[in-house]
Amino acid sequence: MKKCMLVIMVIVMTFCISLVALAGSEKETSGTAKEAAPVASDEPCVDEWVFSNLMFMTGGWAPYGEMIVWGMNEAIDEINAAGGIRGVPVRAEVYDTGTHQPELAVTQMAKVLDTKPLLIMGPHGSTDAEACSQLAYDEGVYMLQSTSSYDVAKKFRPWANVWLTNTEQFAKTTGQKWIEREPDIKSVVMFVQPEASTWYEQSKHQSNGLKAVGVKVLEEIAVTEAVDFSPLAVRALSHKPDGFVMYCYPEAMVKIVLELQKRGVKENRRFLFFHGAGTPEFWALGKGYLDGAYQWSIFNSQAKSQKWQKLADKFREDFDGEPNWTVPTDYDSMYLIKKCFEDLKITGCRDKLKEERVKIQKYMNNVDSFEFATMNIKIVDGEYKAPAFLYTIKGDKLENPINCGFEWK
Amino acid sequence: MEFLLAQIINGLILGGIYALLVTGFNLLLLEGGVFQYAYPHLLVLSMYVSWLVLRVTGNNIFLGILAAVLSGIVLGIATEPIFRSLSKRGAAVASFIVALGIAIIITDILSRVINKGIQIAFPESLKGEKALLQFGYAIISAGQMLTILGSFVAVGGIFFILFKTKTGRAMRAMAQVPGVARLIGLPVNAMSLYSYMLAGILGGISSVFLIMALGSASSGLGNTLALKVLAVAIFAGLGNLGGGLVSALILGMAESFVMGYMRGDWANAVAFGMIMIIVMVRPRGIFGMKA
Amino acid sequence: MPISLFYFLVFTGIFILLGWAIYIVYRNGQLNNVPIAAMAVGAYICAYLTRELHWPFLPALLAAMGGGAVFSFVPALGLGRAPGFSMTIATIAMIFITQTVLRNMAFLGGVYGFYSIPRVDHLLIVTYVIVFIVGFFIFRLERSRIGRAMEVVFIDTSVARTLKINTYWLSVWLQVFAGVLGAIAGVLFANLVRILVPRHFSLGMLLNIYCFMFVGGYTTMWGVVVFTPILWGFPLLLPEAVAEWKDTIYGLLLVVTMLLRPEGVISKKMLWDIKVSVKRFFINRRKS
Repeated sequence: MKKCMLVIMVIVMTFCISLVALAGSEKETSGTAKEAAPVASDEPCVDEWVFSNLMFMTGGWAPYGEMIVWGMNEAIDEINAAGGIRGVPVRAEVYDTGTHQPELAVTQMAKVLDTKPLLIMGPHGSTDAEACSQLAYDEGVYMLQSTSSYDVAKKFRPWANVWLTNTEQFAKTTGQKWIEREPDIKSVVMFVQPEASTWYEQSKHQSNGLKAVGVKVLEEIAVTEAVDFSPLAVRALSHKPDGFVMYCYPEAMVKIVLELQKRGVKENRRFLFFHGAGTPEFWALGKGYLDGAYQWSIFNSQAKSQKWQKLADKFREDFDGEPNWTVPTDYDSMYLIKKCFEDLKITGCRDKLKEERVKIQKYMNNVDSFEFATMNIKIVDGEYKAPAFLYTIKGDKLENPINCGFEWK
Repeated sequence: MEFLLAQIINGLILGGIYALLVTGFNLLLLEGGVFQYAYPHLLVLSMYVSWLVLRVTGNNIFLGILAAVLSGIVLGIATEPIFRSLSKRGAAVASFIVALGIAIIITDILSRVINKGIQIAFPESLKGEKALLQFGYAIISAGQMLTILGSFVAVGGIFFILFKTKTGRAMRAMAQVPGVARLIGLPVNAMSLYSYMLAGILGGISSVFLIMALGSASSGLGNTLALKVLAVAIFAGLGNLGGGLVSALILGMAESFVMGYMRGDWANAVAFGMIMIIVMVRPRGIFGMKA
Repeated sequence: MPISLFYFLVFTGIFILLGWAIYIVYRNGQLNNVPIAAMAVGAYICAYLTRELHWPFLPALLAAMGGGAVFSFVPALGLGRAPGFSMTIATIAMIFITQTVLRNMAFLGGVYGFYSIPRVDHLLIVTYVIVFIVGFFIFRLERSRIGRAMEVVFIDTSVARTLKINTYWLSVWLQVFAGVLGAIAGVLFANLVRILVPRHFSLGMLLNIYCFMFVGGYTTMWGVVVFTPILWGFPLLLPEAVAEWKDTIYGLLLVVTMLLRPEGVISKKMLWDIKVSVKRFFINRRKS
C-alpha cells in the first residue's frame, strides 16, 4: 500500500515539476542582459549571441542533421576566433525536431519562440517546415530555413527564406539542358516519390520543361519505400524509354539504376538525378556504377574559394567522405547572420526586440551580394538568386558543371 | 509476356526473402509464444556487425560472413532471458510490446551511431550482383540465386529438426501443450533456449543472405521488413510454418505485381488492404493459426 | 502563458484522446490503429468546413465526429471478429489508404497540404472540456453493463460467449467509438497546427501513443491520463543532448515496464489499493 502511495506521489510530483519547469522555461536566448546599462544606444545588450537551430537530429534524417550542424559549428568556431559578432561571442542551441514528427517540430518551435529569439535557424526539412513554420510566421520571427524547400518557404514569405533557388525554374532549365546535350533522348520515364511534396512538385516542373522541348514523358512511376526495386525497373523498361529521370530518395535512385543497368541500359548518360542525390549513401551504394550520369544541383562542388577548400578538407577529415550539399548550408547562414547583425548594428536589447526582428526581416529579404562558401549570391524580395548546375558524374564525384541559370560572378 | 515473366520472377525472389524471415519469426512464436516483432531488426543489426567486421579486416569475406552468423546466434540467445518470463506467463501482447521497444532502440542506435547513421553498402565481392540467369528482362543474380537456394536449405533444415528429430518432437510438444510438456518431464527451459538458438542461427544465415540479395542496409530497413513479415505471418495464420512459406511467395508476388502494374502511389495501400480483406474474410489467416 | 506550455498542453489533450481511443478497443482484446486514420479524416473535414465553408467550430466538430464514425464503421463491420494482432496489421492498411486518398484529393491540397486553417478561440479550454466530457463518458461506460462485458471479453472470450455477450457487436461499437475519438483528436490537431499534410498522420505518432498507453497501464483509463503528460513532457525538459535519445529511452521504458509491471505502472489493483488507503485514512481521522 505504502509502495503504491509512493509511486503516486512520485508521479504527481514529476508532473507538477514538469509543468512548473515548462512554464519557467522562458529563458532569454537572444542573450543574457548585462547588468550595467550600455554606453551607446547601439551597443549590444548581450554577453553572448545564442541562436536556436531547429534541426532533425533523430530518425532517418539524423545523419544529415549531423552534417548541417557540423557546418554551422565550424562557422561559429571561426567567427568566435575572429572576435565574434560585434565583439560578442556566438553560441548555437540545436532543438531536435525528429524525422517526420510534426508534433515534436511544433512543440520545439514553440519552445524556441518562448526564448524570444531575434531570428530562427530552421526549421530544416520540408516536413518540419510544413508543420511548424506557421508559428514563427504568426509571431513575426524570421526563419532561415536553409534546407527546407523553395515551395514551402515561399508560403511563409516574407518571414522565411531557403538556400534553394527557384526550383520551379531550374527543374525546367536543367532538364532542357540535359536534352540539349543528349538530343537522341526523345522519351523518358520519371521515378517520383509522391509523399515528398517538394520533390513531387519539382518533378512536375521538370516534366513540363521536358514536354516543352518535345520530349515525351511516358510515365511517372510512384516510388515508395521497398525492399526490392526490380519490379519498378521492369515496369519502366516496358515503355522502352530513351531516358530516366529520378526524383526519389537516394537509396531508391541508385537501386533502380542498378536494376536498369542489369536489364540492358548500358549508357549512363540516359540517367538524370535531381538535386537530392549526391548524398553519402548515394555515393556509397552507387560506387563505380554511375559514371557518365547527369545530376542537377544548386550546390557548387567545384568552388575554388579558400573558405570552401578549408571547409571541405576539414569535412573529409572528420567524416571520411566527400562533402555534399548539406554541408555549407548553415555555415553560410551563420556568416549571413554575422553580416546582417553588423550592418544593422543589432543590439539584442529586450525593448528593441520587435523593431529589430522587422529590421532583420527586411535586410534578409534583400541582400545585394554576399559571398557564400561556394559562390556569390543575391537575395531579391526573399528569393535566393544563385545558379543551378547540370553536372556529369565522373569517378564518383560531380564534375563539369554547366550553368543553367543566372549570370554570376 | 516477357515483362509478365520478369515480374513473376521478381515476386518469387522477394517472396524467398520474406519466407526466410517469416520462418524464424513463426518459430519463435510457436516455441516461445513470443511475438518477436524485432526479429528483422536483429537481422539488420547482424548485417551492421558484419559490415563493421568487414571494414576492420579490410573486406575479409570469410570473417564478415562468420561475424554475421555468430552475431545472429548471440543476439538470438541474448533476447531469450528478456522474453523468458513473458513466455512462461503466456503474455503474447506484452511480448509484442517488449519487441517493439527493442525495435525502437535498435532503429534509434543504427540511425545515429554506426557509420554516423549513414546507410551502409557491402563490398562488391559479397553482393553477387552479376546476372546468373537472364531471359529478357527477367534476371536472377548470383546473390539472389544463392538466397533462394539458401532459404530452401535453411528452412528445410529447420523443418527437418522439428519433424524428424527427437528434440524437434519435444519442441513441437512444447509448442502445442506447454503444461503437459513440463509434466512429462521435458526440460522446458533448455528447449526454449534451444529454439531461440535455432531462430538465432536462422537469423544469422538470413542476414548473410540479406547482404547478398540487398547489398546494403539502413536504419529503417528493420521497420520495413518487420511490417512485411508481420503481414505475411498474419496472412498465413500466426505460427503456421508451412503456410508462412506459401504466403511469403504469394505476398512477394503480389507486391511485385502492384509495383509493376498499379497506377499512382497505391502500392502500400493495396498491399495492406489485401491483408485487411483477408483478416475480414478469414480472421485466422488463410492457412489457420497454429499459435 | 508561454507558447510552449500552450502547445504542450493541447498536444497532451490530443494524445490522451488518442490513447483512450486505442485503449477502449484494447479493453476488448483488440489492438486497433484506425484512430490515427480517423484523426486524419476528422482533421480534414473540420479544416475544409471551417476554412472553405466558414462553418463555426461546433458544427464542424460534430460533422467531423460523424465522419469519423462512418469512416470507422465500415472496416469495423469486417473486423469485429478479428483476433487482436491481426487487427493491428489490418488496420495499418487504413492509415496507408487514408494517406494515399488524401494525397490524391486536389481540393484538400493533395500532397502540398491544406494551409491557413482558422483556430477556434480558447483552444486550450475547449480541448480540456472535450477531454473531460470524453473521460467522464468512458468512466461511466466502464461501470455500465457494456463495461463489465468488456472486462469479461478481455479476460476470456469463451467465457464471454457463454454469458451470451455478443462479442462481435461489442467490438464494432467500440471501434466506432474509437473512430469518433480519433476524429475529435484530429479536429483539435487541425485547430492547433493549422496546417495539414497527409504524411503527418503516420505510424510514428502511433508508436508514441502505444508507449504512453502500455507504460502507463492498459487496464485502466488512468494510465493514459497520467503518463501521457509525463512521457511526452520529459524529453521537452531534458537538455537537448539527452533528449535526442528519447526514442531509446521510450524503448527501454517499454521493455522495463512490461517485464517488471506487466499491466503497466497503473494497474487496477493499484487503483483499488489507493481507494482503500484513502478511505482508511479518512476513517482513521474521523475516529481520532
